[in-house]
Amino acid sequence: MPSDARDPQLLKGVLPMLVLALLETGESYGYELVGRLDAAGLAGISTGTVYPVLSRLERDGLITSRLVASPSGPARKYYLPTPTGHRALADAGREWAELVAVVRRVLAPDAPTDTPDAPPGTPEEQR
Amino acid sequence: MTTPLPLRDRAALAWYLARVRVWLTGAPRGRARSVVVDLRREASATAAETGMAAALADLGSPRTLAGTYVEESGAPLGSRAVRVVALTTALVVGLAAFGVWRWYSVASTPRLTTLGYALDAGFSELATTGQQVALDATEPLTVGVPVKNEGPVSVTIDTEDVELVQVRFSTEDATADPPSFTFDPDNGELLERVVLGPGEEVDGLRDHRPGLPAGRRGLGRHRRVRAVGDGAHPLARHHHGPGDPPAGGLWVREHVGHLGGPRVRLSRAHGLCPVPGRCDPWGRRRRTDGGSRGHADSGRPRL
Repeated sequence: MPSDARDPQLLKGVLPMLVLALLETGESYGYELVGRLDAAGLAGISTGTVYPVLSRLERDGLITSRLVASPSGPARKYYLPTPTGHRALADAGREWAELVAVVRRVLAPDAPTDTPDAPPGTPEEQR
Repeated sequence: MTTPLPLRDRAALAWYLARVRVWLTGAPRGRARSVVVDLRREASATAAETGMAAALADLGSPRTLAGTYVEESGAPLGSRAVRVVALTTALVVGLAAFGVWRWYSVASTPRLTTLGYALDAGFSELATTGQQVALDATEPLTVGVPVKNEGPVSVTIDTEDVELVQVRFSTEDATADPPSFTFDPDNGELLERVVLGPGEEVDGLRDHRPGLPAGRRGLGRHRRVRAVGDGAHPLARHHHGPGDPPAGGLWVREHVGHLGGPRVRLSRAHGLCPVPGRCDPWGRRRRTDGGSRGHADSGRPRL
């Protein structure tokens, strides 16, 4: 699906979960997260979309941040999930998998039921 | 080593953040400050990689970005921002309008020195025709407007907190034809027409507050009385100071109850009359069939 045809409302609901999932795999900052989302196939995501999400996740205690000096510019704010963030991501992964299963059944009621997608959990859970 | 941003980039970033801050007024103050600090740092850091123009473009519209932050904080989008902008605009426009009005009031009041006489509670010359006088007084005052033989004149009195408005017309020329004046209240009805005989005086009183005691007729607030004289007679002598008005003239007596005084405007009415002597007191040409607008049948001669 072309990125410019994506419904922003669809992305709005899952973007916090995706950001948390990316941060699970490695500490990162806002601009880098945009690049990682783009590399994952979500082209068209801008910093103006990601920064408010990071801000809310931090305010809700799901991620924590630290300033890391940059050799070429001002310090960057790097983010990592907190333990609460880990649990929230696991919960969100399960809910997303359930939702995907329901949506698939509704969209293709005659299709054979298959196993839902594996939820994006913590690396430990995935192992 | 950190390289400082060029001045142009700093200016662009400051302008962008200022607009964000405007639209962040719907968020809690501390939260808005934190957002702006984060944005400044991240945009500066990104600009070091992509350039400031690209960094700001990637952030999107300041209003949209701020709206996203405000939405995340649970406050209604831009409600305070709209209110602040609207109130600021209204305040600026209001102050500008007041300034223009005030300037016009002062500029169009050529004889402010007459205020001294007016505040003596006596009869004073306020203006000659074509001039406007604004009065401010905290004490009851009586002002007089002499009507010289300058053709029909119109006296308009805008009143605020005026207890009594008395318009007196008199003539000292016993041989002259009697002058005539007409009162015209706000609603345009013709309430009273006054025609003076030689040497006569008459007070024209307008009563808009029937609750006042007898003889204390008032106009209430923000009422307007208009009197027009035909000005075809040698009437007034200039008179200053307290005391009864001299014989002859058109006098406006005002008792001001509270702060805020009347505004008296004396203007030529005959400018409206293309043929002097053939117009009614309002400066309009008399109709050939003798009809006139709404004159009450008071038994007095028609104008």
